[in-house]
Amino acid sequence: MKWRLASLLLVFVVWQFAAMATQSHLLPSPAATLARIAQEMRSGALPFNLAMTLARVAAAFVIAMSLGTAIGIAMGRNQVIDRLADPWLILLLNLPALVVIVLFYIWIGLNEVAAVGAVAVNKLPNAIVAMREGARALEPHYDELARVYRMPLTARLRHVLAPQLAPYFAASARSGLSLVWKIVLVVELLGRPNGIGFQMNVAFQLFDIALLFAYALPFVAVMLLIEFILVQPYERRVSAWRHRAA
Amino acid sequence: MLLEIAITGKSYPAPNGGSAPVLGKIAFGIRPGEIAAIVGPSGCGKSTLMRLAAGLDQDFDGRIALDPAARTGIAFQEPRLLPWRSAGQNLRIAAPAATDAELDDLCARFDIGDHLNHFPAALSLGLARRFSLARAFAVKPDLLMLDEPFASLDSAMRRRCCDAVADLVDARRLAGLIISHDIEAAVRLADVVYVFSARPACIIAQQEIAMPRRSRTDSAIREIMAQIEALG
Repeated sequence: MKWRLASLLLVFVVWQFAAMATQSHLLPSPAATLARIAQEMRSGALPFNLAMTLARVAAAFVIAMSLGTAIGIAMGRNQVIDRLADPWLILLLNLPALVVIVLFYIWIGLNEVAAVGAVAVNKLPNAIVAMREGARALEPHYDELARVYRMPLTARLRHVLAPQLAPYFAASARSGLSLVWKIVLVVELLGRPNGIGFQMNVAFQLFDIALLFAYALPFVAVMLLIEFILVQPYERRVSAWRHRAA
Repeated sequence: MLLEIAITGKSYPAPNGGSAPVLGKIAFGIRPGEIAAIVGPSGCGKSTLMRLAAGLDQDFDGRIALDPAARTGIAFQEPRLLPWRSAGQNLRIAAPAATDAELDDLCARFDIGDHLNHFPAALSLGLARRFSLARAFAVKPDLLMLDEPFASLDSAMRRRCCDAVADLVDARRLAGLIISHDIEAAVRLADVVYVFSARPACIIAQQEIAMPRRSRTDSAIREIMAQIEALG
């Protein structure tokens, strides 16, 4: 933690010096940015836009991970399903995010369903690939154990299947979250009247770098916070058994 | 018969594309309350037979009938504890219906009570094996299947666990199939010992042991072992 804080502090120091050296409105100083953040906080615009973005991230993430987990396990366990779905998976994996977003907005309309759906579809193939790998790597020994001991389905899911898939889920969740963060902003920029992405567009139109920073920084801070308080502790918890202490 | 085995052959695919026969013609049955032990050279197919008997491999010629009502308590050749659950949870997950007193009793018999809160990776192989034995009894089985149950135990612990298994088998009148290359363990526990040949394995000799398990003295054991070695 000490080193992480030091690393963050260093960024601010470099930023401060750069701002002092350039003296340009294109690079506002940390103090000016903080003042702008405070201003946007007071007006309520920043919390509102941040909340909208977070809600879209959460919705798209949950949809993509749950669908991706179900499809990935089905593909990993069943060869016919795998062969049937594989071409579509490769298509989705290589389809540019922008194509999906534009098509969804045209077909479904400029609304939340299209926005969240487009983000979820962009994340979906990565989740499927990760969970398919997890399902393929399931250890048959434990499956045999469950069969001989006649474990009920819920116990099998909880004690045999879930712990083996958890590391794949954690890895997929982490890479998925970073992908979803990025694509949500693009979706907002292209077709939503609010959210961090929308504000980025406003800042771009006005060439208002302080505004851009005022929205980008809290957004990055929330992202880091979620990584450190949710994603990383989850990864540590599901891999605790790999270390020798109980 | 609790378990009736009438195999005519079992082979595995060989690396060269052909097939390697593992088991030949094998026929025997296990009655309720009877412990059968199988001894034979390493790699002769004893563990394969146990996998077939447990219903884990259906790909063989012949017939195996396991009473569908019978509960099986199995200890595989490797302890096979779920590594992401504590050793104590491993017992609990396999035997959700067992009472705490029953599990405590098994832990005392196999001397594992101090290690319930450890993950299996933190256990020595011998401790993990004792947990896998306790787990096999925790499910209140009708039929035991133990594959090399005392491997990786030191001689004192081997003796203690062997006595614990004998006591439990007698107290609960269990039937069982014990696979062992250690003839002494087989002779201490079994009512009948089948001696397997090298691959493809078949029964080359069998020895009934009428003497009650717990009255077999060390000298009686040595005598029966000598008889079996003479047969093989």
